[in-house]
Order: sequence, then structure tokens, then C-alpha cells
Amino acid sequence: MTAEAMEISDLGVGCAADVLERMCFADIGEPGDGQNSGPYEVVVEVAFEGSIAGRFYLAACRDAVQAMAAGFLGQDSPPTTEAGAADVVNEIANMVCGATLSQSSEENQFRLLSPRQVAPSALDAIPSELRRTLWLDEGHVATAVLLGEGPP
Amino acid sequence: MSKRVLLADDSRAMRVFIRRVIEMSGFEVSRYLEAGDGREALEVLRGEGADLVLTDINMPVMDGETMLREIAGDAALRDIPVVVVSTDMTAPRMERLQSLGAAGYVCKPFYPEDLRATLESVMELEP
Repeated sequence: MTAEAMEISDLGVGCAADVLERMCFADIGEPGDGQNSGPYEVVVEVAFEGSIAGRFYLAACRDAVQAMAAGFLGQDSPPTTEAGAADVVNEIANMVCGATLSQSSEENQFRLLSPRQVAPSALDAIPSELRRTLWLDEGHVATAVLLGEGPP
Repeated sequence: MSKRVLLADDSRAMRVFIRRVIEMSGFEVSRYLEAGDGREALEVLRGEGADLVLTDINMPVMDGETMLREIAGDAALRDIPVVVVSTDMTAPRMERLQSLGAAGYVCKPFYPEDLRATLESVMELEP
């Protein structure tokens, strides 16, 4: 595990918190809030290439997905349609990944590929040291960054 | 005066979000136009026109930077203010966008107030 990967993983979870607070109007809680909110149901992968290459992952349990979508789209009460919620989670993953890479180095030049939803089992292949978790009132969200494994 | 605003972003969710912020901010908008990529945005601009463009950078088919370059090179379009809304605000990117005449930048993620302030600033410069 490189120090760079750990640093970017830390940066990634900070950027995720920023996105969720600013654009989904979510309250980020303490570990334990929403802890029993079920497994990760949606996992989005954003591959990036350029002076830095790799893959970013954003995962969320069902209730967190609905909360993010409702906050972002401005709908007072879930459920948002599945397609609408998926579009929101893809966009959030895209923003978090872009912000993380921009902040990791001013000199980074990169291109993000379109976000795509992958099987929740994709998380199993990511070392736990690179995963970070955020707790929302409604459920949990995880982020992870893998360096050196760009687009397929 | 009421404006026609073109939102160029490949994410429908982001177009909805930006439109919501504009509406909450009280700007007078007579019509929202939408495009999913830079090429589609240029077609809208050349067909229906717009008074203001908000665009993402990272889009399929034609990215926002290429679109901005096309706008800068088209005498009929180059006076339309373009505000870039993107996660990619690294120094090299910002320099290129500035040289292409972007009227404003908003870095994602942003608070709704950030977008409103940028739009107010851009609108004030409008004749």
C-alpha cells in the first residue's frame, strides 16, 4: 500500500463529505449513525487516466441512495425513481473523483471516464486500508481509490 | 431582462440541480435549453441561440473546452457569456479556459450560493 494511495483515499472521503453536504444537503454523522442500514446496494466506478490513473469507487446502501437523490433533485420525499437515483449517484461519484484528483495535485492532468455501476462484490477486491466510510442519518456511504489501474 | 439559459452537461441530474439553483436564486429566465454534450450545445446555440451558457467540461462527443474554443472562433457566438461548472479546476485547465474567454467558473462541489454569486457577477457585466 503506497502512502500516495492512502493520502488520496483520505482526500476522497473528505471530498465525498463536501459533495454530500453542499449539494445533497446531507448531515454527516458520527460512526454508528445509520450503521444498521443494510449492505451496499449501489457501487459506482469512475476510471481516470492521464498523469494519474486509477479507479474511484463510491458505494451506498439503499436508504443513503434515496436520501442523496432526494437532496440533490430537491424532492421532499423519496422514493425517487431508480433511474433518477442512479443518475444522481453517478454524478456524485464523478464530482467526488474529479475533486479528489484536482485537490491531490495542482499539476494533475486527467480525464474521467463515464461513471458506471458495478456489482457490489467489486468492493471485495479493494484492500480495506483504502476504503473509507461516511455515516449519514439515512445510511452509510463508502469511498475507495485504486491507483495504477486505469480504464480497461 | 429575461434570459434564455443553455445548460450543457451529460448528467441530467446535474442539469436539474443547476436549474433548481437558478430558479431559487430568482433570476429571470424565459427559457431553459439543455444539451448533453458540446456538439449538441453548439447546435442549440446556432439554431435557437441563448443569452447565457453554463457548461460542464468532461462530456462525451465534444467536451466543454472544445465547445468553448468553437464559440470563441465563431463571431456570431463569441459574445455569449459562458460559465464553466466543473470538478476539473486544476491550474493548467483554468489557464486554458481563461484564454478561451470563459466568463466565469464554478468548481464542483459548490454551494448554491457560489453559483448564484458567479451568475450575478457575470450578469452584471452584461450590456
